Amino acid sequence: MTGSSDTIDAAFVPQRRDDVAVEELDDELVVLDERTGRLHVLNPTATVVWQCLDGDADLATLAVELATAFGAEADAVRADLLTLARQLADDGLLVGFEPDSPEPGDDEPPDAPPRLLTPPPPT
Amino acid sequence: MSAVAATATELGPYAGLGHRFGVRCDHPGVAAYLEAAFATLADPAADSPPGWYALSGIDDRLDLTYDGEVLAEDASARRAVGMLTWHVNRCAIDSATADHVVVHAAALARDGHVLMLPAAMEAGKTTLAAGLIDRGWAYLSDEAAALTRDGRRVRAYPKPLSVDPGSQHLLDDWAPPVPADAPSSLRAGQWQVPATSRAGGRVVADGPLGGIVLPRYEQGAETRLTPLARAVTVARVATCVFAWQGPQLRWRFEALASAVRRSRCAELVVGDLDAACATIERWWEEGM
Repeated sequence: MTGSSDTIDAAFVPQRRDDVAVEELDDELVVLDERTGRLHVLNPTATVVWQCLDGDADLATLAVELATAFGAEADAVRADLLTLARQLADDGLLVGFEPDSPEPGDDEPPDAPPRLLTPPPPT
Repeated sequence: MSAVAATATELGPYAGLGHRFGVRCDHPGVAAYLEAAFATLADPAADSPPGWYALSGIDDRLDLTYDGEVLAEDASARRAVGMLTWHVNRCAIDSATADHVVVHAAALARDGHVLMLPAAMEAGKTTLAAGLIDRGWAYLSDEAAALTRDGRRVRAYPKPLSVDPGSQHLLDDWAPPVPADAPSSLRAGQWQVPATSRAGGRVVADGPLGGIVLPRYEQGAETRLTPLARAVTVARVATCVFAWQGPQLRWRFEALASAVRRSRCAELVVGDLDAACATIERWWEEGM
């Protein structure tokens, strides 16, 4: 089953995929989706949120907890959480969501050979 | 297709990463040109190489094969040499991807550490490498930097620097000597220049990674270097990694992150070669 990020609202219970590879560098995360070879960089705030997405709490609850922890306005945190959750869903990093297909010419398909080497000289 | 004559000159053995090869060439002028160009790939201690390129022909018409596979037929010397260097590059990179993270990058060394310059084609890697060699940096590659699986060291692929026609006006004193009996087409097109042909030019076999700078040439732009977050650097460098796909992806990702974690990282807009080299050197010295 794959969902649409349009359906995500404050009642949504997000769960990060556990079959991605993650590396933390200087409070930021780089997430590798091995299905596509794509890397996703999460800034320090998104990194904290990512670590909370364990499938136990809905976004409204997470917003209250994070607002309390960081002394921030709950409504603003909820809005930011919704935006981030939809982005993570579009990127296929949440359980139940597949990554958006790239626009033609926007990205290499996952099985395309790298176009790095200078092509052979023309005839 | 003509066979290589019995009087062919044997060049090599050479080694480019794991690609070990020799060249047989029955055209004296082309053989002399290649012997000079491939000097930094020479592997004199090696046994007879497992693969042989054969260049055969007269005047400016040559055939090129690799272990019997035809790579070029009745081609100009310029095209045949271009195809030979392209094939060597491809095989060298393929030979290393199983146990290295091979990055499309120039690499140079100073103070015992390696600077990696990852970039796509036409970004100015070779030009920057040439400029830094002339400032005393040791050479590892202008094409491929092979990171070890633990991300700690960079292994050299010291091919001749391939200077494209569009950059030759910046490096006019890098024009390689062409033997008098070499075909005239070798005087045009891409130059193949070994780093050791430059005064003070030297090659190092490997070294620990110390810094990563992602260069981008912008005509007329002001040269500027901007520090880059390590996480962003991982994502940017990954776009320059050969074979970034398949079941080997995870360890390559982990090795790349490990390498970036212990490196200083920046991006560089190059508008002027001298300014770019000076900027890199200031940034490098600040980190030492």
